[in-house]
Amino acid sequence: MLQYHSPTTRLLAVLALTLAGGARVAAADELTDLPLERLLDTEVVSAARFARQVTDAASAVTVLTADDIRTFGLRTFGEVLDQMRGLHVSHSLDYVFLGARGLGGPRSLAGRVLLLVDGIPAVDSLYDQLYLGHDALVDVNLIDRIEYAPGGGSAMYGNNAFLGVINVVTQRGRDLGGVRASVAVGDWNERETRVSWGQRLPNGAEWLLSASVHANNSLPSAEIGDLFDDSTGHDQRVFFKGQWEGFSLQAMTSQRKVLTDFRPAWYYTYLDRNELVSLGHDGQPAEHWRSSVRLQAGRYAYRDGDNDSELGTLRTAASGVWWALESQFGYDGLEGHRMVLGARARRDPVMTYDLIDYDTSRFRLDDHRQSIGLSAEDEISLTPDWRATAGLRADRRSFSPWTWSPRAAMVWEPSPGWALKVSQGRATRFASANERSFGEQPDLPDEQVTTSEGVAEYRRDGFRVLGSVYRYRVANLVEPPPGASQIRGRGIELEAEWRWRGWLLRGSQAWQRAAVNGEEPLQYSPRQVAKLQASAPIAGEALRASLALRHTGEYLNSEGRVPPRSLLDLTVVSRNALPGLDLRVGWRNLLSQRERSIDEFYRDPPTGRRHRSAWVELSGSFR
Amino acid sequence: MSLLRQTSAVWLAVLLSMTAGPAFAQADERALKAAYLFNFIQFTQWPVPPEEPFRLCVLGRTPLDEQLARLEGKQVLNGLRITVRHVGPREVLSDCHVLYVDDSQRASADEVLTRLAGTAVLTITDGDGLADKGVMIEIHKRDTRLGFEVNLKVARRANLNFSARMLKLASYVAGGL
Repeated sequence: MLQYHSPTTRLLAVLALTLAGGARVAAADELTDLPLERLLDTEVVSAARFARQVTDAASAVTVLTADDIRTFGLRTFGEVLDQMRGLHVSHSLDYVFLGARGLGGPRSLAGRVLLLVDGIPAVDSLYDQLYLGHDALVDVNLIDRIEYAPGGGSAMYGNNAFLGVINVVTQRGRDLGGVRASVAVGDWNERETRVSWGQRLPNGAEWLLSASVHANNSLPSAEIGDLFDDSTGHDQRVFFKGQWEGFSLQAMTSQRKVLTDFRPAWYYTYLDRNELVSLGHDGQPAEHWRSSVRLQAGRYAYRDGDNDSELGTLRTAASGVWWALESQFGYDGLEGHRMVLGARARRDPVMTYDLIDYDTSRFRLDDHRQSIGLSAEDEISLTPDWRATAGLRADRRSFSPWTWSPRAAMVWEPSPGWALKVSQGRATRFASANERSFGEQPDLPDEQVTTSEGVAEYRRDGFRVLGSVYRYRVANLVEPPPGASQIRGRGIELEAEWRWRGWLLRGSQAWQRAAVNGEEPLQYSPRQVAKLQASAPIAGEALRASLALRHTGEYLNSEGRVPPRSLLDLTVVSRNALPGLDLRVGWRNLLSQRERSIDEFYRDPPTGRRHRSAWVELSGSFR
Repeated sequence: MSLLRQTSAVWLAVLLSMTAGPAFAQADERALKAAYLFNFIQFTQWPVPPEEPFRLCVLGRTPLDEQLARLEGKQVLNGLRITVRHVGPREVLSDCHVLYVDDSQRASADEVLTRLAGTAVLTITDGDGLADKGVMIEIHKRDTRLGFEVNLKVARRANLNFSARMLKLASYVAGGL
């Protein structure tokens, strides 16, 4: 009979095996003598290079790739973002919230980071909310790379790029080259099945189709544990991406439905559904010119129903529909300049909120709006070592005057491997449809943030280190905390990464402080956020073990103080564990730290509960 | 029984399977890329047979430099010795036989490719998507193995020929057959 081993014992076992392991690695000289056929058959120890940054060269970007997502067993957007420098992920009982630079949590300044999936804004059109749990639009397994660029990106990306931009690039048909399928089971009644199919055809056309279904105990994050016995959550996702010549078509949809069942007395359901479609063309209309035109449309639906055996049913429904035409033109014909001009027009013809009361009486709020945005950016190479960027964006939306979002940045590369960057800019956020109460509260201000930032970065071979200092000021708050006129924040962030022969060690620490009117601390604003990730091949890439540590300092929530918390996660990936199949096992919150951020929902006194959990996934690729 | 307890059994099974598992042929990714590059040269036919020194040019400084340096002096194409040379994007490139454009140099890729268009210089990269942009051979990583794709259209325009054996092993050939 197998004995139960404590996490520490298992951890030591992993470390011991890691140190003892280390298959012989061939050198270049021996390899050149091998024929091409043998080279194709040789396994590599994982990449020693850092993912390149594509978003905003002047920002202190964090990049995670498909390899990181797989190795560290990250299964939702929230889990992916929670590995990134300075980001702090929190949750309510229904949704996952992102905190950046000390701003953002449930009911507290959320929705100020823009999420772009292949350039399409993936925030809903009514609440401007990011869906980061099992309700996300895109399966994280389809991510090729995800970048987080902190700082106001409004000058290039427009509304919602207030504290930062998350840029997701999804995989292409060629990355699959066949069918990939997986099944997973986990604690808290979790089950997941996924099938993806992608190809590139000889004529250059490429497509990818993926669908997944998932179910669990209704909670948005496994970290909460198991609160309710009578709740279930079911979600589905479909994703399509096709490319041919310069044309591209992308469509994605996701739906999550939660049921809390105390029948026959009472039951409650709610649902979120997001849909996006984008048709685009990229081309080179003339020498030195590049063009990109995208027609995008999106739909969002929220429904809930409170069904009482005596009172009847109380229903709410919120619906949003939007479409946009976006174009960008790049010109590099002028020596030392790279210019990008952009224009975007958008309509939100449907923004409704309906309430049907127990007595079947109806109440409706109805709104709609239009907006246009114009942007210009120039990246100027002053000398081989000095580059400057200047950008300006103008936005106009129904009920708001023109707003301007300027940005200037300077990048200096004094010697190989070194980069010093400074930037300053202003970003704008318009009130969401929900904040405007669907037209009932028409005179809300446009929120503005001014950010100054300095970054120093050094990279050489497999080593990278980065430091950043920033300060920002948010004015014209749309929904200010009581008595607040402005929020000021400042912080220091450090990050280091080391890769060597398949080993990875990455750590970051953020010290941050955000205060209302210069004194009061904000809710959901920890002073410290630290991350540590380590990954090691044990038998080459046949078996790999990865540890991730996330530390969040003490912070306030709506109920009081949430003490500091450190979570340790272990993921083991075994290739060909069964013939042709890979096995992944994830242990979350290995040391069973107490969950205290949602004390209000636990029994009195709120002692918090321990919530270690695990999941197992079997997957295979069939080419 | 909690899943945690069940998974500890799985975990042990994984460990056991590992210790009993076969020894895999393993290589450092950079070393393997350099070996690919060496192989590609052997499978390429230039319109005018190259003469000594065979110039392998490397754009800028790259993470592969150390491995590429080891190719210096190695013999290719019936006895030509390789000379490795680092070049900047604005330098004369037409006297290179091969130009390696590392992923880290992709910012200069467009400019370099425009200048090289139609010139008989074999271009090789490990930058994702650069074959689409006009590099002749792109080395890529899929899972734990390296593979490569060929942009035959661009190579033909430069009058470079690849052996059928190499094209057969490519994961994708653009403009082929």
